[in-house]
Order: sequence, then structure tokens, then C-alpha cells
Amino acid sequence: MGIFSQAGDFILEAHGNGGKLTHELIAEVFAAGFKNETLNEGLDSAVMNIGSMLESVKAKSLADCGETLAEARLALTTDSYVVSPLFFNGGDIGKLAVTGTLNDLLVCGAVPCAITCGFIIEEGFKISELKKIVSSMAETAAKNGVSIVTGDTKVVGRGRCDGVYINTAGAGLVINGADLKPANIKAGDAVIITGVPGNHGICILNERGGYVDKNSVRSDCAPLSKPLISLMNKVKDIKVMRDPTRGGVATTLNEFVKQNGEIGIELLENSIEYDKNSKALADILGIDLLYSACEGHALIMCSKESADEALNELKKFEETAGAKVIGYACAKNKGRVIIKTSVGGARILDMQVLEQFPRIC
Amino acid sequence: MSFNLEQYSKKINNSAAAGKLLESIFKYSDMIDKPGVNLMEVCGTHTHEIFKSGVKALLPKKIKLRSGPGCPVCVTPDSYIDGAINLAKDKNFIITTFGDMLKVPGASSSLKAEQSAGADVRVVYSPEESLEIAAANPDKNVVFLSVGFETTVPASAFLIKSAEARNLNNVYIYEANKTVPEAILAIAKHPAVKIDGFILPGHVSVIIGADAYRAAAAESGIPGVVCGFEYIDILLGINSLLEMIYNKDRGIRNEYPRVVGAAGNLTAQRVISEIFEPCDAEWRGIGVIAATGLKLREKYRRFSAGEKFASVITGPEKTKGRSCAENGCRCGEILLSIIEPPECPLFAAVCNPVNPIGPCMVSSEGVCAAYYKYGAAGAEIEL
Repeated sequence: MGIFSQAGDFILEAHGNGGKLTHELIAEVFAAGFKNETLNEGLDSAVMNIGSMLESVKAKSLADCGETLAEARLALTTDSYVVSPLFFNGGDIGKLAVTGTLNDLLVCGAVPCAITCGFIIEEGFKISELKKIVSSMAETAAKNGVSIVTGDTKVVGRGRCDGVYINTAGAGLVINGADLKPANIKAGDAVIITGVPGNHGICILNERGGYVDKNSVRSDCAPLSKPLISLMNKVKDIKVMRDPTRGGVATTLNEFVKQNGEIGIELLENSIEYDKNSKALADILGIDLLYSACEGHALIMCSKESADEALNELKKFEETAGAKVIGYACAKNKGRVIIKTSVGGARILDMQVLEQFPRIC
Repeated sequence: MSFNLEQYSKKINNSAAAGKLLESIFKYSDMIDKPGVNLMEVCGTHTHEIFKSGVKALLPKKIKLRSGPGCPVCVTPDSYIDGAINLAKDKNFIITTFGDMLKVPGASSSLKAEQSAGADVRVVYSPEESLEIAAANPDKNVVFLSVGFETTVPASAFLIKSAEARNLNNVYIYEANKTVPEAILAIAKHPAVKIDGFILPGHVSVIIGADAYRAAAAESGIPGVVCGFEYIDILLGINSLLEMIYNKDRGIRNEYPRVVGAAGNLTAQRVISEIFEPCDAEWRGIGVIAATGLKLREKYRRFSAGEKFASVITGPEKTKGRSCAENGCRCGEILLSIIEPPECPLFAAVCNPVNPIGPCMVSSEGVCAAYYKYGAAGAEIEL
């Protein structure tokens, strides 16, 4: 605690210089928060045994996944987090970073194994706040059975970044030979959303604008490890999954139809439920929640026949208790997402064209 | 600022009632002895709801909904946009504005582009936010871009009252507010515009009252219905309008009585007339319409950016490029509903939300933006 304690509660540029303060910071904030064997080795890279990774995935997923070491496929993802504000109703940048990374792996059919993180910290940032962020990351990772195995810290001068930015990478192993991609979608397949859309985006907007009491709209930020791993084990007919973050449900479904090339998607406005407060605030602000980000829900496409089975499985878990079928893939309106409106009309739900609101994740 | 979400959650939409209204609309449509019936929704928010709800596709073929000039950003002339850009470029100014103005293209730039290049342009939800900004930046002139119809004029008026009460001498408005009833009469009398009935703006009517349109309807002989913004309101408005056209009723009906009264909001009207007086105003594409603008009264003229900073406003922006009309944008005809957006040669291919040529593609209330967003550049939906 020598030099470190003299610095007070603030990050100094010297915390990023690789010297004593950097070591103190790593030891007292990051290593203390993330503690695990791989990280504790203190090497320049996290060195891991792939065989034991596979064994742990089999144990974790309870899958009859028959993958051998030779067949095992690695899923690798990276993401950067610049959300403003750093702390919001339902989470913070640390929880968001781990959640987003886990969900990106899960929707590709992978069981997450390890996460890395790189911090870019503004000089003058409070160390006590940094500790909160780190502990939130550690808690989210631990709850989902993954370790944060290596990291990096850089400090930039005051005004050169907005508090903290976090970059992550995540690695996972794909289970049950899953090959989830938009090309798998066939006309007739069901569109399932695992809960009400758009709550993260509208929550962040409210945190910034202060339109209503901050407790009345809450981010859905949540890892989907349990429901999605369980779903992959029980339902064999999943075609594709994706977490509708930036650009929301509308943009993700447009990605599906465009990457598939042979189908359209038809949503039923009457089937889509929203959080009542989020919807009211979105209407006041002129925002369509179908374009607002989710950070704790997934869009899942599966055959019509297996949709009920998928819903039954998802409803067993708190995070996805609100799962619903909201539409179907169809042969007409190829390359487009349309929405049948409640009055009986229809309109095209195009991809997000310009930013609806920046720095939500 | 805090909104009441509970109150806002109450919706009156009802698909069974919508079905009945549609039946009635088809009945009147058959009974009206004309090959086509043109109804103009004056307000951009109506235009967007008509697309968003899918109402447009459900109406009889002979009923044509024509979008009017009811997007305040869209009717603001080029000279004003260029003037605002000139102010933004000057380091002595902080510009406060509603978000819709940011991306409107001027001759060579936009407020958004200037903001990215370092100009201090701040989006506000309420004009009064300008007061705190002015108080915190005593060495800068804070100019609120006062664009909008009667709906937002009271907020600008309150800004001036508060600035005076707080003795702030570095906050101004750049005036471009407009009033609706006289403009409706001008459209009704325009030789190239053929309208059989007006769907009148709900929000504006909350302030001015449904009676404010009676003189225009009497003079033009074209009926109007004050209408709310849910699809059921719009269907109700269309049905009433068709009934009035069938019965040759040339009056005004209020189908939004849950928030609009005959006389409107008298307090808001008093505040407006305390601070502002009518003047002639230039409307993009329409030209100057007498007594449709608002300027600060003599007593408050010192808050006028237009007057005080005239030399900055007339700066170089205009000479640096071409206006949207010179670039081929047909916003004038679009705002008068003489043509529909897909008939403009620039629509979608050249002019789109990423690269807007004219304001109607930029504003969230703009008619080209609605056609682009909900029609995905004019594509047909197979039902």
C-alpha cells in the first residue's frame, strides 16, 4: 500500500507507466478483484490447457456434447465498451462488458470459457469507482463460471477519455456441433425474443436526460448463459441466435434477412410486448423501442415445430421468462422485415440508418 | 423535467373500433361523387403515424392522403439555416437547438458538421436550458434557434421572460417561429394545390384552439378536422372529414376534444402575445405569407439574435455552395403536396437520411423521411 496509498483515491498518469504504481494498481485492484490461477501466474499471456477447457465446458453445459479435442471449435469475440454514464439502473460498464462478451459467445452456440479485459482509464478517475467496476465484472464472470484471465491497463490524460473504457475478448467452445447462422433460416421459421425489447437503450437515454425517475426504467443487462446453454441442449432445431444490441430488434432482423438472401421476416405488432414505462417514455421521446438496444435478450430463430419446446425451455429461467414468438420468416417480401400493424396495415421495418443515440454500450 | 409515464401509458387505440371506422370511411368514399378525394394532413407527426400504423394502405383507393407543410424544420428557409451555421462557426457563440435542426443541410455545411469540427452546438429539449448555459458561459453569446409552430412558441416566450427576470444579457433567440391558420388558408388558395379537406394538427390546436381555423375554412370553403395522433384518432378524423365533404359542410370539427378546447390555452396565448407580435414570414417552397411569422416586440427586441448579430448571420455560408433547390431538391412542391417524395428525382438514390439534400429528408417529422423510413425507398409490401 506504500506509494499507492499516497496517490489518494485518484488514478494518476503514472498508474499507466508500467512502473511501481502500475504494479500496485494491478495487484490491489485487478488481481485482487479477478483472482484466478491463470491471472495469478502474471505472464504476458494467459496460458491455458485446451483439453481441460473442453472438460470444463462439458461439465458446465451438462451437454451430451460429444466433441473431442480434434473436433472442438473455438469461438472468439471482442468488444469495446464506452457507455455513458458508467453506472446505470440495472448495471454498470463492468457488468455490461462481461455480459456483452458472454452473450456474443452464447448466441454463436458456444459455452464461454475465458475473458480478457483492457482498461483505458482517464487520469483523475476515482480508484474506489474503478474497484466497483472491477468487482462487478468479477461477480458477473463468477456467476457464469468464467474467469477473467488476463488484462491490460492504460492511463490517458484528463479529458482524453470519459472516465473508463473497457475492451474485452472472450473465448468459448462451440457445443453440440452447433452451426448457427442466418443462412439456416427457412420460410416458416419462428422468431422468438427472450423478453421485452429495448430496455437498455431507453434506460441509458433516461440516465443522461433525466426525463423520469431513474428507477422507473431499468436496463435489461444480463448474461444469458443458463437459458441459452439449456436451450441448445434441449432444442435441436435452432437456426440462428443474436443479441439485438445497437440498432435493436429491427436492425438484427434486417441482418438476418440480408445475410440469408432468400427470405423475408414478418412481425406481428400485436404479439410484441413492451415494458410499460419504457414504452411510455419512448413514445414521449419519439423513439421506437424496436430500434433500442437490449443487453439481456436474444432473438432466436427456430423451426415452427420446435418453437413451443424452445419457449417452454426459456420460460424456466428468470432472465428469459418473457420469451415470445413475435413473427415468422416468409418467402414473400424477400430481404425485408415487415411488421403487420395492430390496425391491420403493414409497414417496412428498415435497418437503423443513423445513430439513434450514441455510447449506449 | 419529469414526465408522467402513467398518464402517457393510456392509449385509446382499439382495432375493433378501427374496423367500424374503416367501414364507414369506405361508405362515404363511395357516396362522395368525385373520382378522387385529397385530404391533407398538415402536421408531420400525423404523416409519420399514418405510415407507422399502416393506416395509409387500408384506405379506399380514391382517398389520397397528401402531406402538408407541418414540419417546422422543413419550412424554415435556406437563408435561416445558413445564418445559423454562420453563428455556429463564430467562436463567440454557443448555439442551442432542438435536435432536428442539426443535420439540415445549408449551402456547404450543417450544424452537425460544424459541431464535429468544434463549434459549440448543444441540443436541448427545452429552450429554457439555454439559461443555465448562458449563466455558466458569461463570455459567450448563447443563441437558441427558435424554430417551430405555436406548439413550441410558448417555450421560447418563457425563455425570454426568464432571461429578463434573471437579468441575463448573453442569451438570445434567432427567430423563425411560424403560425399555422393563415398558412392553411394560403395553401387552400394556392392555384396548384387541390385539397378537399384538412386534417388539422392536434398539438398546435392545444395552444390556439379549434376555433382558430374557422375563418380560414369559411374563406376557402374547405373543411377541417382537428385530430389526435393515435391511429384511431386519425381514422376518426378521416371519417369526419369525408362526412363533412359529403354533406358540403365547410366548417371545422374538433375530434380531439380530450386535449383541444375551442379557445385553446389562453395562458399560453397571452405569453406569446406579450413577447411576440405577428410579422410576415418566408416559408420554404411557398414564399412569404403575410402575418404567419412572429417577431419579438419592441420591448424585448434586445433578445433578437437576428437583429443584434445580423452581420454574423449574413456571413459567407450562402456563397460557399448551392441551396437544396439549386441542387435539384423539389422540397417546395413536396411541402405543398403538389408531388409526392418518390416523384422527386433525388429521392432515395441521391437524397437519403445518410446524405440528405433537403430538410424534408432530415427532420423526424419530414415527409421524405417518413416515405423513406416506412416505405424503404418506395418498395411495395406484399400482403
